[in-house]
Amino acid sequence: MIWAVLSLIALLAALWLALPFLRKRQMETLESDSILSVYRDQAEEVERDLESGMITEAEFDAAQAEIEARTLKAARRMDSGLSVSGQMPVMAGSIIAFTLAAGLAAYSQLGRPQIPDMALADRKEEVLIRRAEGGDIKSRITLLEEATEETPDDFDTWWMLARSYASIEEHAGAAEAYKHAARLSNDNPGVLSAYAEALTQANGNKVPPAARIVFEQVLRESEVPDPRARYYVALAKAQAQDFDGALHDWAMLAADSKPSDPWMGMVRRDIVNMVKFTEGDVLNYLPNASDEEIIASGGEVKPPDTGAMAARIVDLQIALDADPKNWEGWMEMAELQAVLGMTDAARATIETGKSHFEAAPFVLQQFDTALAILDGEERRGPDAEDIASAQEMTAEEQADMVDGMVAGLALRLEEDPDDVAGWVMLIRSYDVMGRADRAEAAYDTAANFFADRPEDLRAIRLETGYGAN
Amino acid sequence: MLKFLCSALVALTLATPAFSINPGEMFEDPAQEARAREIGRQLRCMVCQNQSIFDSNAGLANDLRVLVRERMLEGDTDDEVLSYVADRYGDYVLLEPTKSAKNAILWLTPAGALIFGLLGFALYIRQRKEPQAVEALTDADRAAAKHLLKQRDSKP
Amino acid sequence: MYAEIGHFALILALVAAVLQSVIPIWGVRAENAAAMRFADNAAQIQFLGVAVAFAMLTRAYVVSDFSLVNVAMNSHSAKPMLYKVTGVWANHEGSMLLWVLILTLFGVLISIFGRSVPVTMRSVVLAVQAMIGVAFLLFILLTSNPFDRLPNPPLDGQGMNPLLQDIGVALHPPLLYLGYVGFSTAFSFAVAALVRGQVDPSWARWMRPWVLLAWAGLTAGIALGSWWAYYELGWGGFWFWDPVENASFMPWLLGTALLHSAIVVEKRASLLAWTILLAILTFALSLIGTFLVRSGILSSVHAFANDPERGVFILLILCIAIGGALTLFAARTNKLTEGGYFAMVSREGGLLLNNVLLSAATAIVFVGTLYPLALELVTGDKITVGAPYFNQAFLPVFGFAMMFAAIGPFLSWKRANKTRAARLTTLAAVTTATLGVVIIAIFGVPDVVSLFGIAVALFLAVATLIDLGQRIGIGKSPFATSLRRMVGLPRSAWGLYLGHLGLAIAAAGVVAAGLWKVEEIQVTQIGTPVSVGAYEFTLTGVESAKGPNYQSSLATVTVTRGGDFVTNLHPERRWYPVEKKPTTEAGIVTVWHGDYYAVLGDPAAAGGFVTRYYYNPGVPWMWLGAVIMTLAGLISLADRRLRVGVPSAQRRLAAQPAE
Repeated sequence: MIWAVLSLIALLAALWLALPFLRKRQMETLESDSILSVYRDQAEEVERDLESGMITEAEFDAAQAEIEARTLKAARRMDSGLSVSGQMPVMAGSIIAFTLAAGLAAYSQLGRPQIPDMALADRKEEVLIRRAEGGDIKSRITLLEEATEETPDDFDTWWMLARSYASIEEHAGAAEAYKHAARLSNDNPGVLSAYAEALTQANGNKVPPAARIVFEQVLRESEVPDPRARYYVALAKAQAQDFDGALHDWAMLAADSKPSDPWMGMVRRDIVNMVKFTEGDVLNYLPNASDEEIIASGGEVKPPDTGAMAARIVDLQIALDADPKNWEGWMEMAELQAVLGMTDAARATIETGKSHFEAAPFVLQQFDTALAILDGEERRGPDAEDIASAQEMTAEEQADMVDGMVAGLALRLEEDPDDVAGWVMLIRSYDVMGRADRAEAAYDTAANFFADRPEDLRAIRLETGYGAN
Repeated sequence: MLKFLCSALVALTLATPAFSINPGEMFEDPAQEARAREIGRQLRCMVCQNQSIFDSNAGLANDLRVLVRERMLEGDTDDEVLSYVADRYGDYVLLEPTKSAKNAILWLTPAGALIFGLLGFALYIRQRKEPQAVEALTDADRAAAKHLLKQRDSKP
Repeated sequence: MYAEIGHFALILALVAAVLQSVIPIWGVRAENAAAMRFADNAAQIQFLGVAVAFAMLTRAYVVSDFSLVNVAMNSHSAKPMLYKVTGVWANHEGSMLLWVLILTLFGVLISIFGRSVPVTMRSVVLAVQAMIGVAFLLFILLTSNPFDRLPNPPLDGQGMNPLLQDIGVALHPPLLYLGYVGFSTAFSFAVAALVRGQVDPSWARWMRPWVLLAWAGLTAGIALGSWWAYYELGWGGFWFWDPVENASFMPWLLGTALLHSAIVVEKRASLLAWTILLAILTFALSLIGTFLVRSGILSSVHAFANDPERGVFILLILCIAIGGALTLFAARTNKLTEGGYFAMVSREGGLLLNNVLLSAATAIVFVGTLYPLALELVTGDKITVGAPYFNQAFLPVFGFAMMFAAIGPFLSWKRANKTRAARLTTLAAVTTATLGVVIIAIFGVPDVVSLFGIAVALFLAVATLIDLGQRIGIGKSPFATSLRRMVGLPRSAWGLYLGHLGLAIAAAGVVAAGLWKVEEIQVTQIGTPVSVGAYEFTLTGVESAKGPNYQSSLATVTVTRGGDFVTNLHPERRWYPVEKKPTTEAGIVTVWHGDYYAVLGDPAAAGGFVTRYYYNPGVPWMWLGAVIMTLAGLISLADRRLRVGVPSAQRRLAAQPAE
């Protein structure tokens, strides 16, 4: 194919080259003719110069004589006449043959006819695949996007596309893809819930009404309540100032979940933060709250109830005497003893426990770990820190959450400004967030509204410390 | 006193020197600064194409500028600064080549070219003798020539 | 397949060039009309071949076909389309292809528009042109082939130096080559004349338009390159005397001489041998420039010695072309019969003297450019020849050339009226002195060199205007008559006046820029004014912006004078992530007397930004002068006289019945 095209091009070029030798008869002009026309023009110019008075008569004559001498010289040297030529088929044939042969031969040496053009646009697929293989999510997304165009009814493609978007925090793109996936899955609650979550994240972690409706629909329709939906419905409540409702829902979710469930970190964290905001008692919602959580929620850690602990030790002793094959019992007893400061007793308990499990390497290992902890830091559990760090929100997440709640409050006050406590809370929140400008703006808005109710305004002023001057 | 030197050294350690001259390295006295620039314009940035160190933002140029100012603070005259730098970095840094034997051809070129050209011009003009007379054309010749020149008029 | 078609077209161009350099010469010897005519057809195929190759390479850049090594090495898919296209010639292979494209373009133009040139001459000219074509096409195909392929192309290209991603530098090579390569026509005409042993006024007239075109292109190209350096390098300088610049400046100087000596040949049939020699040497300088830039010898003599393939090839071309032409010149020059006599004080004498001065100036630039290379090759010593040398050696000679350019037009052909010339010269000198005193009174006494510069520029401008006034009889005849005469002036006369005026304006700009430039470098806080001469520059804000393939900090600098708003400047600092290189884009606003110029640097450690502020008076005059000179060349090109001489006999003979 390429050789045909190249040969055709070469042939056309060769024909054009040979054309002068294929013409029947041609003449060329006398060279002196061209020369004479130049001198003719020079003579005319000199005449014009004379007419316009730029040269004198004498100068004109001299110039004229010079031009005439030149003219005669050219005319005398004049060539024999025309150069004429007729058709020269042999010459033409040679030129055509030479052009074709030389051109194609040189190309076969230099060219790479087997390599096709590879414009980037045509290589898009290849480029994307190579990039996606290299772990480039964006290329993967482009590939999946294309796949969804080809097979718009394939659930898996949409689902993977949504997941890919979510992994690079393109929440809007993820929401759009989840929407298609949800449609194709006949509104499978899990997919719907993922969709609504993406909507929420795309909205800066504030649950939009549409997402809340979807979450609530999911909760209504699924047999086992979807924990994600439960979590977000609670978040929506929090963002709509229903703090008690939110805390209640989260507490229920925490109670229904295993401590190892992946969402528990988020739930515990939110409960702690919310409690801190409402100044409640975290143990009401998280009975097993750790000391760190209690402190983070603004509560105080009660000293351990030594009496109850001692009683429990006695109970355990009785139970273990009856059934020593309960290693968790041994561990609990050692732990309680350690907490009460009876370190030696705790060691003894563990050694006794070990003696009952000599054939169980896993259990022995647990005991050894406990011993190591006893010998090292007396009290702290091995994963207390991990829990704490899991519960710690990043500053950004925390700010997001507080922002969401404050924004909700501000919105509500805009619709219904007749709420002294609400204003106080809003202004204080801004103040705590370090947004004095907003706090002042909020105070001004409130002052406008309460202009004819000086007592209320005074209350706000006293409570917040704003508007003093 | 050496404040500018310190900041210049700091600037050196940065990855991207932004500018041919950093304000930090400059003298506060305008006259001294002008002198520094005058010297700088005669030194070549070694990694550039014929740019002076005051026109280049390469790190090496910066290095040389600091050196120039350092020498000036030591009380060197302009020529002393230039020869100090040339001793350390070679004649290559001097934008104006030294007027030494090895550069004789270079420095003799301008005068040589001019003298050679003017001499040629004079000789050319002289050797051309005024022709006895312009080869006098006979009247017949002139008529023939005029005929040739007018030919076009006769043609349609 | 497109890329391979381009490659094949380039090979076909070579085949056509080979035929074109042989057959027409045989045709002239054998007086065979068809073989002479063949030169036209071959020139067309040669051009078409190179044009197709160039188009295909451009296509590869546009669609980012990285299976071409050249594209993969020099382009990037994220580049803006404009710079994808201009990237074609921003690298060695592509620029050589552009070189040959322009060479063949001149060939095809001669084959089409050179009909006034008799075919006996034209075919030899085209044959010589084709020999150059053969040499450079071989060079491209064997050492610098832009169509080398990669079977497994990379995902993306290597990018392009961001400094080159600029409209000024993008258009610079085509214009420069138009001049550079355009002088090949002068070479070909000269060699053709030597081959045929015949030089006469008509020859000069046939050659002249091609030299004019090349000269105008080179003028514009040099100015554009200088303009690019001025605003892209970011310190207000415009000419470095670096070897690459000199490489384009030397053919310009000698080409200017050629342009003037060709006038003498045309008018008086004198200076024949000299003009031929100039034509050969001008193109020789173009070839030397190509060698300097393309062999890599400038960056390092050692790099050249280690990878000499390309450099040696060009050097070989250079030696054969120039050596051959000069040998031919030596053999034939005694056969040239010099024409009309002229006195020393005459137009011819003035033009010749000017030629001598321009040639001396060229020799100075030549030695200054090549001396360091020669010295390093011979002794191993490395020296630099920079601006101080050229300012001392070149400027005085060029200044004198400008002064003679002022006086020359006062002299009439053959033997000048000395009284008249002296009277006009005195008038010009007195006017210049008066104006000079006014300038000194306003601006103060400058240094001697600047004073000389001002005097020369003023003198040239004044003398040129006086000559124009004389020519149209101002003061002697009614104003209306003068005006009518002015309109009726031949275009070549306008070429003279505008060319000389343009030079005077440009020179005035250069002097003013050197003399009155104000420069302030400092760390500025936003809102704090800095005084720059009579002006205050205030950095009013810096914003981040995103370009097509770069990030940038865009500043606004407000210029005021005595509190009155003058203008806003927008200097920019760009970062090209692909190439990992920063560039500065100066913020420039041009007014009639100069440029306000601001450059933004890095943020300073202690807050604020490093800034450089300039007031550059006269700089716009340089560009204006260059534009006027270019226009002067083009206007001359449009002169009626350059179009006459289309043989009328042909029609007459063609109308005769066949025998």
